[in-house]
Amino acid sequence: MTHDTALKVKGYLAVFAALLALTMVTVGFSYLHLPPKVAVPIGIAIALAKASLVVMFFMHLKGERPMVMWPLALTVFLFVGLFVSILLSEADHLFGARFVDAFH
Amino acid sequence: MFFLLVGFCLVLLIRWQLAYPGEVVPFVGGLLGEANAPGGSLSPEFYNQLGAMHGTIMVFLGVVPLAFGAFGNYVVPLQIGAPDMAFPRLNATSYWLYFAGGIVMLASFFVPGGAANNGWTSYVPLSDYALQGQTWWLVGMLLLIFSSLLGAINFIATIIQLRAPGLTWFRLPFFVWSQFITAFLLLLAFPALQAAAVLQGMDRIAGTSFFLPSGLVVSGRPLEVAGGGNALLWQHLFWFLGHPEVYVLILPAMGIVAEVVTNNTRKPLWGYRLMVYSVFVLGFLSFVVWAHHMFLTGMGTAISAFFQATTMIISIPSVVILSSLILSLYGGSIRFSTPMLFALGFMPMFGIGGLTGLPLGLAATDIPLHDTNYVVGHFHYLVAPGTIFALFAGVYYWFPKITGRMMNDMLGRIHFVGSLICMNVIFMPMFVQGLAGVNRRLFDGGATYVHAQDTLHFNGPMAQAAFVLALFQLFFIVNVFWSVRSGRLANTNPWDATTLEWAATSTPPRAHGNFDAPVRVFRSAYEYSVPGNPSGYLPQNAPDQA
Amino acid sequence: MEGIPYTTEARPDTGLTNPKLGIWLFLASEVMLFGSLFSSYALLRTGAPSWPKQWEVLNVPLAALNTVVLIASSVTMVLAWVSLKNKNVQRYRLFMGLTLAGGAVFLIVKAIEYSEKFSHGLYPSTSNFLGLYFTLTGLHALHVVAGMIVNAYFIGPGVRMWSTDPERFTNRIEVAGIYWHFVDVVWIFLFPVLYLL
Repeated sequence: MTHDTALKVKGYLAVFAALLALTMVTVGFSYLHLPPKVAVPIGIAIALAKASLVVMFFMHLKGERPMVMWPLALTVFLFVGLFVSILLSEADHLFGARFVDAFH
Repeated sequence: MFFLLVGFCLVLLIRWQLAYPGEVVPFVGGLLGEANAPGGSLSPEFYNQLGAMHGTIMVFLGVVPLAFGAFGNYVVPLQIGAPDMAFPRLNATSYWLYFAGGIVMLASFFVPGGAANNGWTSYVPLSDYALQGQTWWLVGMLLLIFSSLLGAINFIATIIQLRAPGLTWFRLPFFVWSQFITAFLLLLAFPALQAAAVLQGMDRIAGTSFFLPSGLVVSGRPLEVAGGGNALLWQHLFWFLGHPEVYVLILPAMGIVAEVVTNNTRKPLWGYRLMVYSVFVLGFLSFVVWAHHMFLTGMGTAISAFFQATTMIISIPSVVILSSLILSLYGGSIRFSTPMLFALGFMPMFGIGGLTGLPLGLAATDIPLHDTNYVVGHFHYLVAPGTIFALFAGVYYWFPKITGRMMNDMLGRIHFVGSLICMNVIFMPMFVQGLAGVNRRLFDGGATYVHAQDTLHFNGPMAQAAFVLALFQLFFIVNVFWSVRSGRLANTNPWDATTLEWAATSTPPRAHGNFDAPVRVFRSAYEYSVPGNPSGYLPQNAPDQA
Repeated sequence: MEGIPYTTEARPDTGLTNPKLGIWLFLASEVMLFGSLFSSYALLRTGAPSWPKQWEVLNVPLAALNTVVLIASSVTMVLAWVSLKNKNVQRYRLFMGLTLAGGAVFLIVKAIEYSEKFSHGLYPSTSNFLGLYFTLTGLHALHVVAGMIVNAYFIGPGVRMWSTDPERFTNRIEVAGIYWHFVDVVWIFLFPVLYLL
């Protein structure tokens, strides 16, 4: 292997604690019942943070050779983003903007 | 290849119906069963089944497995000097999933109601309410998609990890590049259809209404579902795969043609690096053009403009690749072997197919042409005298590597000439019919439409050409089977080629890896006619002369 | 399979072994699969005239518990791998067992959730939201089951490879772990999207 035992046990437990904390934050936020315009970005952002922790540390992405992993990871997120944004625009709203007749 | 034959037979039935509507199908009419063909002439429902399954079988059971699965699996490890694919057991799994998918698809003809009959595109809401055969189609597709996914993983890992020492990225034969990009397309695009198939399955089986809008009325009765669904969602998901899928159909073909051309012109590919960059760009762009299949769905002008622009842009790398192939001929010492004939045939045919795509890619001109026979002609030119010619070239070219024998040249040439002529007779009139406004997938071929009357007379010759085309394929089939036993024996490199697969013995042994000795690569892929070299070519693994 | 290079040792220029590259590629396709479904959710929800208040239909505390359980099982999974790197098979079995237990608890809680819905007459066909809920969580649960089958193999008959080829076995656990963490990541997105927002 090109890297040794990535993190020591303490490191993994620290990540675990962070994940638990973020879970509590996201549940707590949800009880506020903020309007979707605010709640959705916050919820997604927290989820992204948690996912990044898992991917970087548990899945050892942090230890991998950057040249190989970053393009792969980036491409995937790019595609999904593209996907979501085009579909949302098909539904005629993307955060309130209307794409129909944009050329008027 | 068996499935190609099956799909072809299906379309022969279709052609008969179009040419001689209502008449009894000769020879096999009685065999089709009363439900499908009362009195021996095709029923409309059965006609639709033929249409849907012809498309499905040809694309997913015929071309993709042959171009990607068969040629790729065989040739790519040899061309990169690898002992095997990276995951042999995964490979086997992938094959058996394909086999299972094929069984399911063929079996669907025999269930009550017959096979899926909603086009290979299975648009909703019609598919949500179709008979049992549609569910079989969904299951079959899930199996086939999974098979392709596993294959794609295998290819990418193999090409990245198992290149022989010295084989850097830009020394790879173009065929390997094209398979590499194809694998990425399969990997990232197919899951969208998986998701869509799952959703449609839920609609059909669990009564959800993902694709069913509120207030939908079927056969006079309003549906009792929750509603709120979006029929266009299916189209988005389907075409998100569907468009990269057609590039999956063409890229391996371009790869094969590149190999055959450079070998038979005795000079390196013109613009190799350019072609590699183009194929990368093509792969990436193929993901952002899908809604050009949906110009008529009422999308807004901004979105249509976006997709129109990307579609026009994607024609650029295609043109670059085709031009490079054509320019590779210039100054070459052309050897008109059978594979070369097919490769040469590929080029203008692909050109016609590509050019006829331009009016389809522009939203305004697509309006009268969408869903007409023009579209059918367009894509058939690309796949039939396009990809399939390239596949034939590949068979004739690599046959000696696989079997140790050459295929018969005379039969091959007859096969080529006959196929070329017949295919043009079949598909060229479709453009005329489409321009006149004849819709595709019509049971009567447009006979009841006033605007179609002037073009109906083409149906007869098209059907006859189709039957003659079938006859010419016999030359090929006979050639294959005969040559396996009695073809002229070939040495390991009968075409005097430079790429690595020709350094392996013919019929590479499976037990100990493909090559007798570890391979090391010293130069780029196409060192033909290097000045000062008497033999006229330098294999990739021959060490530099002192 | 002898003679295929880089099955266990990493290829120098990429830093990867074949199985590791393979699992990441597989996960790329899985991201597209779940991504398509999330996009479908987005399309259907934004296009709908009305949408139920998800946190009122579904049981949030139970799902929050499930989230914690699944994250914990991810931790135990990576600790299982660490144990193998430290050449401690007993510890490995302990942690792998805990991972399996976590997966099992997750599935049991899901089963409780589903039956609770069915007993109130709430089915996938009741509304698009519920249809999406059952489809997305159902597909996710299938992935959990698949992961558990693999992990069960690795705690059971698969352990034999530890005696013959420990490095390869350790790598296998790492690869299985990468898959398992992915299943966790999907849930990390599913939970807020389906339950909270």
